[in-house]
Amino acid sequence: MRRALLIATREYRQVTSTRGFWILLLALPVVFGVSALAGRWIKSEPTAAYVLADASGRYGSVIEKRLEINQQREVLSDLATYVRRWARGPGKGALWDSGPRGFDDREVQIFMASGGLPHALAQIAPRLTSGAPRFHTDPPPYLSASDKLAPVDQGPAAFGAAVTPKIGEKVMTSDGPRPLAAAIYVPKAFGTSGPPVRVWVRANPDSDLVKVLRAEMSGALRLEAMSASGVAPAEFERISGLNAPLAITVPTKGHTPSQLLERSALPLGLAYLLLIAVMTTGGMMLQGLIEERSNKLIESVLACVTPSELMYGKLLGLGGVGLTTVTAWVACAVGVAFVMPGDVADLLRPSIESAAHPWMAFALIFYFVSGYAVVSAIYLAIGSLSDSIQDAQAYLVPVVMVILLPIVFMMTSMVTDPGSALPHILSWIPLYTPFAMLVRLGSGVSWTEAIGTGVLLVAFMAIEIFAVGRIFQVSLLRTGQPPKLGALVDLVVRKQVD
Amino acid sequence: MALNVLTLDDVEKRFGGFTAVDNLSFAVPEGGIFGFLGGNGAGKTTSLRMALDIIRPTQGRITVLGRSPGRENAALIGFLPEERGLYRRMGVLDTVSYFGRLKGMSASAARKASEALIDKLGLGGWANQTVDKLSKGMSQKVQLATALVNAPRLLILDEPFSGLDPVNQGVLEDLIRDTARGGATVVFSTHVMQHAERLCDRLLLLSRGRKVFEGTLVEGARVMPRRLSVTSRADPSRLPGVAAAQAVGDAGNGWRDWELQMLPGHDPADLLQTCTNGAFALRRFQTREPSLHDIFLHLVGADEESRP
Repeated sequence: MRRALLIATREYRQVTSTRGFWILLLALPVVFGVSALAGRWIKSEPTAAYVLADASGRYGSVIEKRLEINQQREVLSDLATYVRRWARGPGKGALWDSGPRGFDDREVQIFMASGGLPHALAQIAPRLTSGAPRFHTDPPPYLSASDKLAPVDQGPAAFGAAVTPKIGEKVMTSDGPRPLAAAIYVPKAFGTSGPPVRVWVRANPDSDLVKVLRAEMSGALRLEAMSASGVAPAEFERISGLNAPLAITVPTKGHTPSQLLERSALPLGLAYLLLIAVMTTGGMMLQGLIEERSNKLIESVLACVTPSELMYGKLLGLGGVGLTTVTAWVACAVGVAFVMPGDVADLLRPSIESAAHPWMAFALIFYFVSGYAVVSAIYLAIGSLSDSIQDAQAYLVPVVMVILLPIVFMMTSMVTDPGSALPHILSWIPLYTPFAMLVRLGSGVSWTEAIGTGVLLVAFMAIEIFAVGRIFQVSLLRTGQPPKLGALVDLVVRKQVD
Repeated sequence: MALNVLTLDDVEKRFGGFTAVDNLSFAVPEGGIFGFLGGNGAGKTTSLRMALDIIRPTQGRITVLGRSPGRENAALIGFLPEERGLYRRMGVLDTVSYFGRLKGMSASAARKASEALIDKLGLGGWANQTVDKLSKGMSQKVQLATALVNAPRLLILDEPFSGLDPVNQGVLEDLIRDTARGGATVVFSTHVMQHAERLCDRLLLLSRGRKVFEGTLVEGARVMPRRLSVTSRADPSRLPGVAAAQAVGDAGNGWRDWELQMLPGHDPADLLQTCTNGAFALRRFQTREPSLHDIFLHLVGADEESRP
């Protein structure tokens, strides 16, 4: 055991001193960091200003009211998400307690009338769990600027001439100076047969703003047309305000597909990391073993240690590399989840919290380590049979395909269709058990299945290590063409090795 | 009675249908330098690997330092394989220390011994360099250091001179003598007779996995017919002990030069005495001591000729 540990230490040091290892180690933290920062950069995009000049005097307030309702709908939706994640108990039936969903205009107006966000936050505060971050919602995408930027009563041409130079420049809004993104002019004679609404923009028009503008102006025209047809304005308002009654039920906390996916993020991520780590470090191990064989170093080593000790040492050393890598990655994920707020953190936090249960943590570590051992042992066997990377490729290509393809299909199916049968089937095939069980842990696995697949996996590992040990013992000093599959099987099953 | 550091009793090693070592028995006494001689495929490396437990014999018994072969003997053995290599990205000092530790030394003892050995081999200035920055000769010294770091009782060197230039061959010969003088037993295999002739106290000649001779160089010389050159007037072919005589030149005034081959087991000194006592006139009597090369060719050549 002492000699196996010495070999493990040397293998560990050799791999961790390479540039490739550090690139592998830092790749994920860099991705996390860039994602978190990118999230901040995207969110920090400034609110733009618009100016609305209504020469008719009939439409300006309608459009501004619509923009305000839309903005408050976003606030209410974000608030419901926040409450779902951070508030204890079911609440008192307020709008924000019913979960994130599509709120209609009436509900938003109730929210606004009851005091809006400040009132809601005061209500929620006593129910917040410790560590809950401050509520955050994106600022409104645009704020109204004063229409005194340009003359309103001299027609669209004069308005356009005056306002065009100011497009892109900062103008004063209720929340300070903001760049002017759009200028809208509603002509005095606007109507079905009158002049159009004019819009001046810096680049592509903001689609939301144009959509609101079109919807509200069209509504106004319809109202006028209805009035002309004899329909009373109040009746039109009532009819156009009708909404199909929808009773939306949001599942209890922790059971929506998206929440299951959130809980599965860590196990699923670990399965991906396991795949990346084992393939990368397996490649490094393969290269190291081929180097030992090709430069005939192996004979010096075998004079001091048994082939089994060499094999265990390599497995331990490379297992250590894998664990170091994943520990660094998980530590980085925990850091991002609890230190850097943002979408990435919101995704990771529930998953990490669900893994804090001792059995869950044990399962994660067990499946990760066993997955590492199962695949690394295959790489070791290939390395012991190969004199060069070219020799190794002949084995590697089919082996990697057999390992990789089902796992990739399974992971994809788990994300797109959590009820897919593939992960359940692969759970019972020991080569894939660690990956399949990691993928499924977040959505819950029965005890019988966990124990059954676990026992099968341990038995498979024992047989695999024995077989690889046999191949290792016979192949390390062999030269010439690698043996064919039949010869390999014979090596493993024969009673005595040469 | 001196302990045998390595004994093989009726050892056989087969690889499938091929017999690499065939009923081989010999013993290496403690102390001195023991040479393993044989051509390619004679079974030298296979025998050494079995002594180190790198491979197991098909049958027969091996003892190393009084015990069965195994890694528990590694602390007392140094081994330099025929084909050499090192971890290219590992430092010189770390490499030697690592092998010391694999042989059971403590970290501090391995490091101390490695530093001393590296200095002794003239690599002190390279101790912290990685192996890939060394010349081939330097790398070979480092590998030798990995074999010597544990101050072994039994040093096994498989074709140690292959790939070395003449200067480094001389350095290695000195090192082998020093190691033996220090009390270790050195066993080395070679197919270069001159090294074995200069270094070995005892020899084992192998051919096709079988022993063809074991003993000292003097004993080896006895097993082959002795040759001598004489100048005489009469034909010496009828003298007792002479197997064959061939005239090779005229020395003038009726004297002729002859090349004689003695019958096995007959001493040229006895022939000289016979000539003196019998008034067989001689102007020259010169014995030709057989070289190891001659002995090898005599013993192994016959075996090789009988190869099917």
